[in-house]
Amino acid sequence: MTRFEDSGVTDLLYVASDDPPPSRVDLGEVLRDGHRRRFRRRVLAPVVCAAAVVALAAGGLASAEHLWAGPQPRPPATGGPTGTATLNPAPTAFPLDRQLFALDDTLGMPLTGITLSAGSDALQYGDAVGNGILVVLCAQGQDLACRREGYDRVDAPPVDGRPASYLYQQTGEGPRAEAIAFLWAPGAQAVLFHAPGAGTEAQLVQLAQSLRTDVGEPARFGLTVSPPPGLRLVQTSPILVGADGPGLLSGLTFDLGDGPLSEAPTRSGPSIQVRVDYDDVRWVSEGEPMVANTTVGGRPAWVDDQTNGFAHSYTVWLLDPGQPAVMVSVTGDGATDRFGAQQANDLALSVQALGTWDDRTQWTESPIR
Amino acid sequence: MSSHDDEDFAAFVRPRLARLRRAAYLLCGDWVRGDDIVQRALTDAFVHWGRVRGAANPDAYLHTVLVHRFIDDKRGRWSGVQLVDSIGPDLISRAYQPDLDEAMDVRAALARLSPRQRAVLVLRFLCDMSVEQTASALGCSSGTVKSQTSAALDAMRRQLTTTRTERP
Repeated sequence: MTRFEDSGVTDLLYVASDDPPPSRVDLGEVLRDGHRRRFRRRVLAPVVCAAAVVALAAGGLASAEHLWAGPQPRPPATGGPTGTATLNPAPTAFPLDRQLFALDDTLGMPLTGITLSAGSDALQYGDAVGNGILVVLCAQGQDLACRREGYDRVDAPPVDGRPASYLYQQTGEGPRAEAIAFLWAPGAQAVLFHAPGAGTEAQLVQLAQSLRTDVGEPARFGLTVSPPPGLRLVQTSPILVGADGPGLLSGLTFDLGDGPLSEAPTRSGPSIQVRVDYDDVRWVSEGEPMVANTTVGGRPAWVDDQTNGFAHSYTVWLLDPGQPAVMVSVTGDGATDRFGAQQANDLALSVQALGTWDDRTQWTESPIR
Repeated sequence: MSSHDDEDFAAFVRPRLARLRRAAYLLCGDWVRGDDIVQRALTDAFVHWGRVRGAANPDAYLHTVLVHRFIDDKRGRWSGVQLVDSIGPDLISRAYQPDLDEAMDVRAALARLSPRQRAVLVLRFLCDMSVEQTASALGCSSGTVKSQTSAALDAMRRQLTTTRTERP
């Protein structure tokens, strides 16, 4: 008996032949929602979340003792249709080693302990359009997201008297402003994204002017690591959350420590990323789950050695069963020549994952051993 | 994220939409809910369009996304399907209409299956996936697909036999 001679299958196909009612599937809405999610993935998951973000000025945590003066407090905005929004006072000081913040209100959660509020006008805008905003604070010149995505900068009206620029991206329909970057504090920059096509340039400025934070708690990390001499901590990423799937990560980014941190580093500059991944599964590509392909220091590992390939990168994941995965990735111009596979492996082996994603009581404010 | 990407995706989806809708309908027993599942599955597929387009079998990939959306939907907020109840006694008490009754019987029998069993049947017989492809889509073994297929068809046959016997 073939499967189509089975009465159950025949019955099934019989039902499938029912005349369907008119379709409610809206392809246009699929594309619009898809673009919004891509935007969040692009901005939040791979870059901004990876950069989410207090980038440390030269010297790293240990020397980050001076304070930044934040923007001047403003009284809370009042009025507007919602009538419920209140503004937290802006910080009068923004310590370099204090909590990052990055917030995507489409996720409905702050990614860190800092609360961010926007004025009622901005909230109304966000609610009405249905798109979120994302705000990133970073050291000036460290807005990696913008460089990686190839944004063009164009002068924008000052935000509360602070220099600002729109970030444009070329699209099939022409240039489109997706973000505004403005001086948040001396040496620190805020970048405010909204979804493509979600609003006007004037609304971006309005949103930027409405942003305030309270002072956050110290950043805590899910790992400790012992970097060898010559590596310089340039960016901290205590909490990285992907908007779609990947990424329950905590990590640090180093460079090779020669010369001052550039105000405008190249997009392909060398970097060494150290991450702990609390997700259950990692994917290599095309739905391929990552499985160990070698051992490093006797531990199961997945290694992607592209030192002689086009990418000139070396990535090692330690995949201890039942434990958070540890990743070290060496990328950028000349990075693998100066920081080889053995050094990357040693760095990975020095990483100790702390606690779990849900229970961060063991996380530390001092990730460098 | 280009308009070319949009067109590429739309061109891929349009000829497949009717089949996707039928698959979703068979999975959940409701055209409206089925369309919602298709809508969300297509959004997932668009977000991962590069992965779908590059897959060895994009159709199978798309149907896998659909089934996962259905199972997620079921797991998340849908406690059960009671098609006969939802259709209502007024409809059931209508004058005997062979085609309508037959279709309702089959839908009711289908609705009594577990979501996974329904997914197995839909993927194998509506989407023409092999046992191995179905196993891959559902994240289970080939043996499980075979046993679930057999059990699901047996259950449908039993249910339909009973229903048809009891019908006046």
